[in-house]
Amino acid sequence: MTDTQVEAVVDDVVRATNVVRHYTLPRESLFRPPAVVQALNGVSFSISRGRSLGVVGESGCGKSTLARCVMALEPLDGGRVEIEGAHLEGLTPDALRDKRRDFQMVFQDPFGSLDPRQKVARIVAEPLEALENLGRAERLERVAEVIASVGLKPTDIDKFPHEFSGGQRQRIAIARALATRPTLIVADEPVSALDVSVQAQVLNLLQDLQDQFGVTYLMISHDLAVVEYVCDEVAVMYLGSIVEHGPAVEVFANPVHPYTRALLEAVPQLVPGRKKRLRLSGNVQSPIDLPVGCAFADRCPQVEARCREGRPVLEDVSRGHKSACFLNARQTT
Amino acid sequence: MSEPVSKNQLMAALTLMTRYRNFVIGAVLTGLVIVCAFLSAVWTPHSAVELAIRSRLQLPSLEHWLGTDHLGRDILSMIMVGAQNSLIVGIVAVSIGVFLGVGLGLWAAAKRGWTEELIMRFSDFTFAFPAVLSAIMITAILGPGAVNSILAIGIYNIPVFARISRGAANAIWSREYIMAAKAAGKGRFRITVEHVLPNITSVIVVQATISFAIAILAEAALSYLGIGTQPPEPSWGRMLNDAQTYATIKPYLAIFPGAAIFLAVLGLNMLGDGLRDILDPRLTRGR
Repeated sequence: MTDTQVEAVVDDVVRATNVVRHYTLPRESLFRPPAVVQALNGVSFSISRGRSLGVVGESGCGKSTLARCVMALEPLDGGRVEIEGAHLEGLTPDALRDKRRDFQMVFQDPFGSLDPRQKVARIVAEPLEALENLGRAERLERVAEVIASVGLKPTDIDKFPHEFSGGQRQRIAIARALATRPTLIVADEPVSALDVSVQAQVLNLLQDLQDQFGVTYLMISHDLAVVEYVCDEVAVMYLGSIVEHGPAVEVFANPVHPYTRALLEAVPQLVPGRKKRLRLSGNVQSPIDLPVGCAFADRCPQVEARCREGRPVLEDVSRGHKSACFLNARQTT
Repeated sequence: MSEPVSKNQLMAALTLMTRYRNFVIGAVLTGLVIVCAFLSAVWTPHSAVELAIRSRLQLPSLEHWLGTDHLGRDILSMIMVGAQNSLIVGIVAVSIGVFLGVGLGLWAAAKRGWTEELIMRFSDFTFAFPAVLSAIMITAILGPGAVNSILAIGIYNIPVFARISRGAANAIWSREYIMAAKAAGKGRFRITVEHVLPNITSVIVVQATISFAIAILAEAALSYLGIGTQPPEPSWGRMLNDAQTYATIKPYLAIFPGAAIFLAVLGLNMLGDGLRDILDPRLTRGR
């Protein structure tokens, strides 16, 4: 993959190039090499400033691994991640720590991501303590500021996490992510653990914060509606690779990859039985020992012989809309 | 008006006491040992070390509440001073175990890999011997005496605490808030101090109380065997040893120090169980 289509100077906050992450499983037999899970198989994307990219896919497709790799919480086995112009894997541990103020994370489970023994003030101040050289007063001021911006009461900072509901806890987690005024926030399934009624509130909050502070989001979700609601762009992942990537409106209205189509068809309709659904047969291919050809070949309703021989690459279908499928006219074997 | 309120409060207190029965009984018994130890530092009914051959082997009386031993020493006074001894052994031995053991356990959990493997396999090695046996081995090397027996019991405690804190710490390390702390730029050391340690204290406190009981028992055993506290320093195990010779004719000589050991160990064990119930309700529900 070459960077030929670099459109002048795009202001990208994050740029991932060919990110590879493999996990080696414990050996089952002394005489066979240990199995390797190919969680990420050359993932590339970039997000320009103030925009948001949603990554969707089934569980096990590597989307959470992608989030952790972008956050430099996991080492890469190949490729590079660049945030605000710095290659993360090339930084020394100290420099990386320093850089972390630019990118923060919101986790999936608001019950697990907050230390039950710390009060809100301390939780929210955690990145400040580690990353910013602020005095006590300034720190408290900053905490009060972000607590207010996520819609919590000033008195809440003296409470423990268990005194809050799930939605409020996620607000605390968002406040923590905002504390260092990062330019990128990686949100790994930020609302999937919440009640549906609360999901919209949190998503609205995320959008408001984007309007207010101009943060860039990388949002991981299995819920298409969430991504459609919040994100400008969407990337569809299947078994460690992005199979389709483009503006959210475009992808949802006009999906090109068979997997994306199947995914969109799977969304429950309000009027049942209207449409004949495209159903996927078979199971997700195990990410251990991926086949040579297209990873989706075994379940693809439009599979052809060439799909099992070579792997299609991500190429433009129309401007900004890419797909990795041989059905895409320009794609050659 | 105030009557029913105080009655209600009394009822509430009673309910709490029955709910945490273990804790209350344990605290009372442990408190008794502590009071005896402190009281004996300033006052005992008689001297615990002076010999009075003329009044030897007396049955319990108003003068000597629990009687006297074969050298005429007052049993109650000896038990009280012995409590001091047991308490010091327990505190020092458990402290050695907690500081070094928890340190090693946290280190193992933070580093993983070879460091963890090395620390844990070494603990397994020491863990394979029963408490008293390893204490005997260590005193055999270091020589008999109160200080050496404390050291021996303390060394035995290190792997106990290393294991339990490493296990608990590993569970904490897999929590999402640790990942959040990493994303917030915290290093392993700060995460250990700020997140892991506070979240495993309850486990350590419970283990410390139980280890305290084991330490008292081990010290009594060592003294009984003659390699722990040396005479004339009174110690419960030593008293049992002395009583053995007269066990058939004067059984009460063995009963009182035996009862002291029994009650202290029972009290600490119940206190440990009670603390576990209070600090970690999840564990009780599972049982």
